[in-house]
Amino acid sequence: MAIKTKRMLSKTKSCSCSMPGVWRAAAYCSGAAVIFHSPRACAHVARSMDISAQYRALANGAAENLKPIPVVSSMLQEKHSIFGGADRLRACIEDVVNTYRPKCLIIANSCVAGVIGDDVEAVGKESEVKYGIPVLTVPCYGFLDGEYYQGYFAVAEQLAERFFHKQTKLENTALLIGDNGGPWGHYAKEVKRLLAYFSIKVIGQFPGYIPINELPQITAASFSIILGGRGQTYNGLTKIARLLEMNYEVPYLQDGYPVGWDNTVDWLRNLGVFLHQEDLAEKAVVQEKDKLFAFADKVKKITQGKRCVVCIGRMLMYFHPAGILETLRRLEMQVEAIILFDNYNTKERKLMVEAVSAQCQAPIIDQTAGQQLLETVDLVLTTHEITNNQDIKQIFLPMLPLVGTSGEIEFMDCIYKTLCRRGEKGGIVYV
Amino acid sequence: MSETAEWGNVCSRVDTCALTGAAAFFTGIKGAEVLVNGPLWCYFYALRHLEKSNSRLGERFHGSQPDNNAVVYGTEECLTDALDYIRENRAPSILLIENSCSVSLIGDDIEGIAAKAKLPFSVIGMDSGGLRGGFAEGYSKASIRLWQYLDLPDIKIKCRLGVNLLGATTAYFNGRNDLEEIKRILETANYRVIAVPGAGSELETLQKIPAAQLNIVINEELGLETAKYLKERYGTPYVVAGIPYGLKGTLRWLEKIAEVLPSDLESVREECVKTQEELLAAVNEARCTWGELWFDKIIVAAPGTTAFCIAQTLREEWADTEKLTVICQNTLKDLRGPVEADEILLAEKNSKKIEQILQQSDNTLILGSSSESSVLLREGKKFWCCNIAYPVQDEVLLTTAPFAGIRGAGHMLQRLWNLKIKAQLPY
Repeated sequence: MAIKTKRMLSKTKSCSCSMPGVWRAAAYCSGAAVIFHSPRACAHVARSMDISAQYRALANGAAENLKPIPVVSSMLQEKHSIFGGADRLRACIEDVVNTYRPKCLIIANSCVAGVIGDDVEAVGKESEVKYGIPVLTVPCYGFLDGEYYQGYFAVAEQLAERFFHKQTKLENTALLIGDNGGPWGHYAKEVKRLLAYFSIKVIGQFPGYIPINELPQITAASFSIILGGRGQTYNGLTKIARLLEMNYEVPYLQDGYPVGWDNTVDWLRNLGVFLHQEDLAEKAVVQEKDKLFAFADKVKKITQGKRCVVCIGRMLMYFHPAGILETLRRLEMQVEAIILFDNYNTKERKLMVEAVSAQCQAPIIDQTAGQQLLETVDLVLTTHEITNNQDIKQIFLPMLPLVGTSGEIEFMDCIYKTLCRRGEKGGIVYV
Repeated sequence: MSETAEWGNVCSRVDTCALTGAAAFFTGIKGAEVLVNGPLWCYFYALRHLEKSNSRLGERFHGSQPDNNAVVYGTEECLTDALDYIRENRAPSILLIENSCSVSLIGDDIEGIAAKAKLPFSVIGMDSGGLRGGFAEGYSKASIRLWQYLDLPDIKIKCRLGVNLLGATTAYFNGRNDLEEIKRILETANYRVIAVPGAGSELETLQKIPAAQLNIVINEELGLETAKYLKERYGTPYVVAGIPYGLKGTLRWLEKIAEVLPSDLESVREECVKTQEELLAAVNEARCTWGELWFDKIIVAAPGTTAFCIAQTLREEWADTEKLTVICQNTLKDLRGPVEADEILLAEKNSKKIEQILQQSDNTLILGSSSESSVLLREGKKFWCCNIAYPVQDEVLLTTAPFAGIRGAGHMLQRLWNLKIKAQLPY
């Protein structure tokens, strides 16, 4: 019997929606309002995402204190598919302007508006003149002509173009670019902690977390740091960082994604060179290394020699196995095999096999061959929850791994605690 | 959706789309499966919502994943691929193919495409998604679509004291446990529950639906239109009973049913009296130490029927307050509003006022969801929260204890008292 997994998706086609991306790019920019030109329920997807993020932040002990901006749906109905929804949108804009008095209005388009063919851009331009406030529109419609990040980047770029001004630089300040859970998220917190080695203070996180009336001042930052990622996320964020550099003289730290220890060291050294503070970077590396290896030594009494498998079902552009395998080596664990799930096409599988082979000598096997092995190992690290074996101890490998030394320590702590677990409690452990 | 619907901030309202509601109804039929002919994003959100009450739902809930090209050239290719997968790997008793809102605008003949796929099981196609409304509209339309498709012959000899429960769902918070308690109470009162469409009955059982002497509508927003359809088609009378909360509330609920279809309610009355004695003794004990179960203000916010029914019982049987506000997520036509409420607000018509009330509420008990709590949290207000509706982010509910019925009366009182006690403790 083959391994069974939960929510395994096998296509590489468009799968997200641009509307939540549009909203997220301005979600906590007080002074703005977002209209979803869509059926009512589409706006509730953004609301659900917001509630989940709020409680995740609370669970992580963050004092989340920013209020989300109003999100209003134009409430498209069946009749608008015949007569068009532009008038409906105009009326909704008027209502939102009168109710919330926004300093900036942002319109997200649904796939319905795209199929109907509403000229949202024209309505936006007309409303801008009528109400005398910036009205931003985007070139994507729900899942059509773009995904989450196309909506996100389109708004970010326009916010920068409309509101940023050149400012006198504030020394030793940085602007974070990207989201990754916002100022309360692990990424931003870890970057702020590492920046403290260089006495750098973060003065904002763009887009999404700066009030509209503070946007013009944000270019006073000495430099910007991209809260990285892989693939299109990183490319899009880099485009924003470049825009800041070219138009507002805010240089950015290039090529940085501090995931895993090696990348964290590179990131710190890169930052040292960028700031001409190489000595501080080396000091930071030494201190961080001590911290990391002290923790690894502490938990090795449990992890050393333990047998594990790594199950992967994500494309290489979203998930690189190097960091995980590096952590397992540090904990002196024995990787028995890498199990590749059946959702890869030939090309994607080949890429993943190459990436794994470059890091590890363990055999690479398929989903069917892997089932028996699962029952014999101490730990399973997996990109998808395994549902047909409740006895195994499994750790979920997230799409966005925790960054920096703290992220590495948290991941090692998770492995340690899972190995300490007794009995057959089932389920999956989230890092 | 009404013409008078008011625009408002999403924080004032919690609702998923018709696609989710239709899927909730069909996946609520044991053995039935659903194929969403719409974007993966919409499919995934519906799945995540429905999985809360059915952890294995993913096996019976499929998506065709159309992309940009499909919207231009039609969804036949991706739909056929998905149907091939279902034919080869699954054996549903019936399959619902539902178009998402944008796909429904293309006008693909989904039943025609399904016919070409030569599937060895019944297939129903319908347009769904947000253009058709919210969860309730989707559930209701899917239900009627099923009865139209089945077109069952009437059963002339009715089952004595046989009833169907309409508009029941396990997709509401604690819905499964409430439904079990409702069935238990009806059976204690000698009624015979024939079928619960959309909440556990198999397709075979649903064939017997015309045999009932009475259709009982549990959640009006989900079941009323089906009840009307079945009355017109089979002449079966219906009663919009709502959800029985509290002990007096349960008896009142049962008496409403018995007015139309009389039965012996004595066993239920006895159980209520016995439970009442036990609860009163325990509550008096708590009062001795902790005082009265008083909250300066109470806001009840939930799907229509839940909100109406729980608000009435809350003030009549459980807690005291100066002001009780009811925020109703659906507009109800038949069920009488709670007479004990000071203010009733409809999410569809009063969204701006709801937003304002939530932002200004202090020292308030919220009987609602994490959506309302989320607003009060960010406003830095002092409040207590007892979840009665999704989304729920701040509570784990694992037991089989219902909120409704006789067993639910004790459970709800327990939750409310523990909220109060916890708030008074320094730890």
